[in-house]
Amino acid sequence: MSDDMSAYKDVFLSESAEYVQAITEGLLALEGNPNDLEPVEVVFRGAHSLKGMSATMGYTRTAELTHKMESLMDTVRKREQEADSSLIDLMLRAVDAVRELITDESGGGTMVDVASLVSALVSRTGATVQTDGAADSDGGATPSNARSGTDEGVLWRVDITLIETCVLKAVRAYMAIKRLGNMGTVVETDPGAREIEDEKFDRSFAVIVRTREQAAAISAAVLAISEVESVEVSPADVAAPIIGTRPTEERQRKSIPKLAETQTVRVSIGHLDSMVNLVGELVIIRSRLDRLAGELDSNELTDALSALEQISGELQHEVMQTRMVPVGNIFNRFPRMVRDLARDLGRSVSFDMGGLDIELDRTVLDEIGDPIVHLLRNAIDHGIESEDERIAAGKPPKGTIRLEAGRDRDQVRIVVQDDGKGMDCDRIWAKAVERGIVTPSERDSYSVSDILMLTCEPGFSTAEKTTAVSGRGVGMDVVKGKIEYLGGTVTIHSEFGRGSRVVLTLPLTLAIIQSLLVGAGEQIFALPLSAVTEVLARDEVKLKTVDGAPVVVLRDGSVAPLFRLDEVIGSVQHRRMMPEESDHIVLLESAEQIRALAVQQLVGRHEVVIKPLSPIFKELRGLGGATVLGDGRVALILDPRTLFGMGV
Amino acid sequence: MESTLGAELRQFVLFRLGTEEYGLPIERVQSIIRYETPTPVPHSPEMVEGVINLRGQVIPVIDLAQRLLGAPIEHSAASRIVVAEADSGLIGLAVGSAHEVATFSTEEIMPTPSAALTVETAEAFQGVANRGDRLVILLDPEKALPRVSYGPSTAIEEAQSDV
Repeated sequence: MSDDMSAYKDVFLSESAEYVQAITEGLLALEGNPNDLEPVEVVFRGAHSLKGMSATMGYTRTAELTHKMESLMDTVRKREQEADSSLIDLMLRAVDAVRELITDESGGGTMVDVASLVSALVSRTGATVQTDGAADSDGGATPSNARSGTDEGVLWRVDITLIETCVLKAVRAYMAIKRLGNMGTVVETDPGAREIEDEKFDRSFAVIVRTREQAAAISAAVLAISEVESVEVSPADVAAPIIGTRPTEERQRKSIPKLAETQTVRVSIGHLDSMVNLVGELVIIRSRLDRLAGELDSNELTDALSALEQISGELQHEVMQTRMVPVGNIFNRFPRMVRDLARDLGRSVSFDMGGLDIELDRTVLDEIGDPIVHLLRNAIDHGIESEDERIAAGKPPKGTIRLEAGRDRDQVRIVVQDDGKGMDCDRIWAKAVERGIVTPSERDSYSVSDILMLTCEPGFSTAEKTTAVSGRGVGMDVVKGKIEYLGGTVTIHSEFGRGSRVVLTLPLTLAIIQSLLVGAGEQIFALPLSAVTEVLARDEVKLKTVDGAPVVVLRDGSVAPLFRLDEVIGSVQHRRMMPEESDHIVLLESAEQIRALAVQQLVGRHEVVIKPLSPIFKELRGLGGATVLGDGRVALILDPRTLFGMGV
Repeated sequence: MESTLGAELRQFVLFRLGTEEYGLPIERVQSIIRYETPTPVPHSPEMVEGVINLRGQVIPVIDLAQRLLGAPIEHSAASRIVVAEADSGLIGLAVGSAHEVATFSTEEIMPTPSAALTVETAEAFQGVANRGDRLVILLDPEKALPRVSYGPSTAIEEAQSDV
């Protein structure tokens, strides 16, 4: 039981997101038909449920805001006032605030202030006397059953602060969490594992760990990691909001039958991610076994290997299946976005979507949200004409944008289509010439689709570069880069005056591992993060030479042979040189042996998709595959086990 | 036009390496793309330029000039990568330029003059065909697409033995 204390918070977060979505959908439906009482009921019940859930979790500001939303909707429900556009806008703003508040409160923050919104809701609710009886009693908080020490040890809260100049915060955090995990069980992190992975924290983060070790030992273990500035170990307060309290049973989603009624189990994303990582490792080891089998030339081994290949292939398939999520999960936020954007730009747009039940890998789905947002923006901003222009062109005054997902054997197609003004090949060509992407004389060798694809060249759409701070909508080059990184393709079809159609084709599943990207010269390589035990600056390690060969003296006094990455890949001819002053030292562990690798650059931690290397490379040692980086370049994945002939 | 009995028409994708013109059977060519500098693969043989990202797939690129002429090719704006289907999967062939598709009847294909052959390249040539005043060398895809063999040791293993 001890490990799933954080699960209540996770359940709350995922369920509250569903209610927020249901409320948004209800409000948009209500906007389309203000006299329909059914969406009013959905919004009312959604707000009511959120109020109860957040009160149970002790999120008082969320509870208050959702209470006021419920009260306002109650007046609409009782036909005391109309759901006009100003009421819808107010409620939509409130929903946005609820989303922010939940993030804030569940992370223990106090940043988001909703006082003005609450009073706006109250004044709109008006003179109607509001009895609290509108809500029944199930919203009351139940006291938490305090958890004290068990034979598995006690809970400690470890607050860790990294030094200001730390470049690879996620890697340091990963090491701290890994190290604490070795001492006991990591129950919870603050912020969550995903945020830490994405470096979404400042310099400090906290780890809740259950261990039998003493505070001093915990502190010493964490302080031993480089770039850790300070560590504070305190007994974890089980009543603190970070762990949350237990929601009452039976409130698990009864009112909104949104998801298909199939037999399902909620599994934390962390478990799925580590399964995917392990399967990814398996793929790498398999390629190594294939090579060994080739050398040994044993039929029995080859047979066993082909069976292993089949089973690990099926395992990979099954694991990836568990990560499949319907595209509707991200599509459902688009109607609201298109509505707001069309309104801001003064366009009249009807938006519809199809294929919401088509499933994609969660990682793919996470990554394609921004590209689709960009395509929809393009369609509204550059595609759909103003009403006057449309009427003049003999088109219906209201533009149409359609977003559709479809399955095509082992690929998923996502299509964004509009009936706007289309793309002008001559203008695109002229702009590409102006930007120096092509030379005028090349025109004959470019087909229409080649020219349309020029819009995906880096540097084509310079005007939009300035919005890069917001992290999205950077340009078609980023869309193409993202999709190709995921192993997909982008194609553009457009008919001038008639509209455009952009098709994203994506693979159904991926093999993914966590990796540390490092560089030698111009070239980037990926190291599986599972083999990395430590990353140190050059001046943090003690170097010696043994028989003229450099070694690193480890903390326990033992030595590990040191290799330079540029030597390993053969770009530097001199053998066994000491690392440069600016190098970083990566300690790699495999089969209980430590090797030190001096790398010339540290790029950072990334989730990479493993692509197989052509069989013509199968006799090469040290390579586990390849991956495509965000900018379209290829990075080779190094296999630390064969790179140094470790553990063979 | 009726072709002579037993003759059969075959299409070849023509490309240039230095001053010579070569042809590869069209059914083995998947696409032709503009040349881009591949990512080098450590310790691979000289004729392997590296790997590229072909629409999300990672494929090797072979310097065909190195393979056939024994010297690397100078890349220019006209350089192309011919993506061919080999036994080992897709493979990119770096060439000077790739410009057209030509049709030859099997009767037009003549044996390669033995003076033009070296030991390394002999088996890669299927024959030659006249095209106006030019001579096109037709490649046998099975033989021209390299089966790469590697030297036994790498720098690492040697370095390892020093420890």
